Amino acid sequence: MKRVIISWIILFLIVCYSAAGLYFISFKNNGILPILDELQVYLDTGDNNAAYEAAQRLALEWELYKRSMGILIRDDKLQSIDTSIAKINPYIYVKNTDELYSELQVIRRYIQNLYSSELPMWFNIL
Amino acid sequence: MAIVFIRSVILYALLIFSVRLMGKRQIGELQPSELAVTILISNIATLPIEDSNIPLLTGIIPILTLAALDVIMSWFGVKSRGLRGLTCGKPAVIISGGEIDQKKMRELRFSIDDLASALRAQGVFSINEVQFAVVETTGNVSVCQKKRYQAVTNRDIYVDTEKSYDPPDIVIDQGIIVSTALKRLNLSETWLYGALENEDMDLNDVFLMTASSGGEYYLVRNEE
Repeated sequence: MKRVIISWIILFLIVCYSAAGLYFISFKNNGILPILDELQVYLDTGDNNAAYEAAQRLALEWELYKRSMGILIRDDKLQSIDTSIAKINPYIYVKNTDELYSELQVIRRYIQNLYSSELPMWFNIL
Repeated sequence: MAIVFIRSVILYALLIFSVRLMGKRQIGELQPSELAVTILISNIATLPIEDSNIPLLTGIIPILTLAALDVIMSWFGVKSRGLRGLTCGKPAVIISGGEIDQKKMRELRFSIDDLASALRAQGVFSINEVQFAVVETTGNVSVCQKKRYQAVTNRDIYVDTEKSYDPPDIVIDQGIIVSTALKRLNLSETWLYGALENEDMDLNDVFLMTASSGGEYYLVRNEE
């Protein structure tokens, strides 16, 4: 009976962990997506200094994000975002707006996908 | 490399925990559902060890889930005969009344060679000697021989077997008293020390001591 109780507890903890993991991803996404929005606004208004500063904050926030997400999400999924974020500063510097917008869209899409791909929906399960 | 090492150590501990959680049934004969779980667990455990891109928890969670589900399913299986039949299957009688059930053997895809080999493993070398044989859910074949081929028992020759004791158990293991065994055998430590005194031995002199509930014991002296 002791084993059965331990098994129920394990299953309960796994369900709790999964739910907490989803909440954590959503919470972390809410920390990083507004910085992307902010960066986009600065780029639209042509304020390169503020955009550069926002990009620095984005890179910093991303480092924390990557570290904590490493326990939940496969490394290769995070690697793609890492590469895109690394391109932002050089693009601001050379004022390559088209590529920059494209990279920002890629980052946004990847980050949103990290959350949606972890949702226990039938399309993810199957 | 250090990461792989640490991950291996963690998964090793986790696998031992999982097998312990699944209990002794898992170590001996495997039921079909247990076999599936064991294969899955051993496969899943290798993935996060080999590939450090995979989070360790991606390996830990399915292992724990499978082990826990196995325990819970076997718990439900104890309560429900139907569920047990569904997950473990049912034993199939292939020889009854000394007659081979050929239809059942075809159903089980069990050849005559398989049957003969299984019988030999049970010490039966002629199918003619078998009264009743069952293919268990584990795949083993249990055999009951015809009366005239069965070994003579004490009851057959009217030997008094009223007094019977549990088999002996280890009560001292390299100078350390095994209290659980003493308790199971209904023997006290006073009896134990008395037995040692009779043999003119101290606890530290004993390498091994076994005893039966009838008070019969066997001692092996420590060589050092």
